Amino acid sequence: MNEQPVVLDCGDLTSRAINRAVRAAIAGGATRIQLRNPAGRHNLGVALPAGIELMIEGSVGYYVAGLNDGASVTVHGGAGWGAAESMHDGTVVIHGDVGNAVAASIRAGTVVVYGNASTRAGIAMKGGILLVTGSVGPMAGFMMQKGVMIVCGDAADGVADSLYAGTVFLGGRHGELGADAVFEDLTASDQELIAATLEQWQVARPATGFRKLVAGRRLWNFQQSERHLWKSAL
Amino acid sequence: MCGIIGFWDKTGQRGASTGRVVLTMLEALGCRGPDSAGVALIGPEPAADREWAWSIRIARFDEETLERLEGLGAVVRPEAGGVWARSGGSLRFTFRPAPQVTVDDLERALGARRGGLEVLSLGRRLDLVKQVGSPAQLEATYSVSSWGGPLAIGHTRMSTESRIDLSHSQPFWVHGVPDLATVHNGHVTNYHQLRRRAEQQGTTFYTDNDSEVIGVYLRDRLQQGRSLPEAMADSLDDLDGSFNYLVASADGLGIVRDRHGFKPLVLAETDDFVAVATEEIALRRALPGDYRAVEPPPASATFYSMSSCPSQAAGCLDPAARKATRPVPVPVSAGTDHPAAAAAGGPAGRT
Repeated sequence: MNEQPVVLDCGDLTSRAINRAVRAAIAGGATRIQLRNPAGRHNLGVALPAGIELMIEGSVGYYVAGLNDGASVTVHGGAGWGAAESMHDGTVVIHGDVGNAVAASIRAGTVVVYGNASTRAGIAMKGGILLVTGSVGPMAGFMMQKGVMIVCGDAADGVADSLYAGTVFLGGRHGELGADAVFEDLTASDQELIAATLEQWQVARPATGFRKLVAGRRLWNFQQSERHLWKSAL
Repeated sequence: MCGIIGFWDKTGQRGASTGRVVLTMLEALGCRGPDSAGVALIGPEPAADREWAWSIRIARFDEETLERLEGLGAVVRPEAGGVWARSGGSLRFTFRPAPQVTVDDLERALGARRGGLEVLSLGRRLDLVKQVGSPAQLEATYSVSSWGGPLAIGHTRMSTESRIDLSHSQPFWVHGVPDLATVHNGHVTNYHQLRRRAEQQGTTFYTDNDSEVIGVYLRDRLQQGRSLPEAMADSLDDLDGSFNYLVASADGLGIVRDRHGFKPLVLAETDDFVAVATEEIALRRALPGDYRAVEPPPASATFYSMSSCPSQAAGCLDPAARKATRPVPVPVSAGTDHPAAAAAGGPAGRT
């Protein structure tokens, strides 16, 4: 049975004061904390440990749940840049649109956006899963090293640019593909991962299914004979 | 990093609190731009018998400066109903231009030049103040919070590539064009090419700040017969780099976002207002209420026309008229068909 959450009103507090209050609540034994009236503040709920559930009622600014260390963070509202950036592990769910660079550089864990994501969604992901139920802006998945991005809607220009071993599953239309992005057939294990993820987060599968974008690997190592590829990529 | 803000009071009833809203938004973005702060306000429609009056603000002037305007018209002193206000190193005065006198004539006569006398703003309804320092200091000098009018834009500056002084601060009045000002966040990377071309055609640049070229570009397009919304759409093709910029004019509020959406921008529209800012915190702090804030899509040029509100002089008092105030969708050139614009259903970047 879930304990009643500790409710904190952000009021006129600074982000630092709010985060300290969250820490104090945790030190006092709370595992469920609710923030009210965040009013677009930055840096809320950063680096929270596993076992903690943070619910934020309202829109937040940049870096919500940044450096997340295993906690489960939910935002009922939109978020600005860098939501969940550099997350080590944990779950971050945004019920709204997000700004640039959602899930930037995350190492593991899951980020779910029930809305649209802006430019550079999933940039430099190092693991984990980013699920966007809506569409993503330009340069989604830029330089993904590992990890999986599932976009149910459309992707603007530059999707899956300069990937390493990251994978983008795209449900909708795309603009210009990013440098070295190539389509590949989905494997059975891809289909299972997608199905399980969509079911876990109660997201309807797009009618046309997903296409898979990976690196063509032509930018992984520089070859003099292929320098023309770099000219167009850069 | 710079912060930009824009606010249009659709109701026309807000009066002086436009200034308070705008100052609060700027203060919320003070961290982004600690170097300078500034506001450009479009005031109420002048009375019919004051249609001729130019409101002019100048900097780096001396006691003889205004004598140079002899023959071009008349300075209207307070006794005759004009404005005369000196603060923060600038002077604001009212001027009645003689027939056929242009804004360029006036700037030339004043001896306006880079590093010397500078006309900071000119218009029938525009006033523009800016200075090195924080929004709080701007308020201390100019009492922005007591300003009234339907529309304002503002800027907090973090200098990245040019010096920190009054001239390099924003907003920028578009020289030669009454009642037109811009604020910009980002970096126009083909600035030098655009500047070279404009200088060859005789344009004076007052700063080394790339943001200045946006107004110069808009003026050029207007002179070629484009409307302001069209000029804004043209800029999506002709400017390179990262640019969110806002335009304040007597016709309304313009919002442009570059084709990559490199810089952040959030917009909220209700029946009562349109508010836009680099960060949502500026909206939430200045404007209470339960409204949704969304990002204008990349590659979008949106123009909120004040005249689409029928009874403009009185503000949009009719609720039906307020609901009918939609942004003028500006056709975006081919190649920028942004699927997320349709998906998000945000302010139109496409027809």
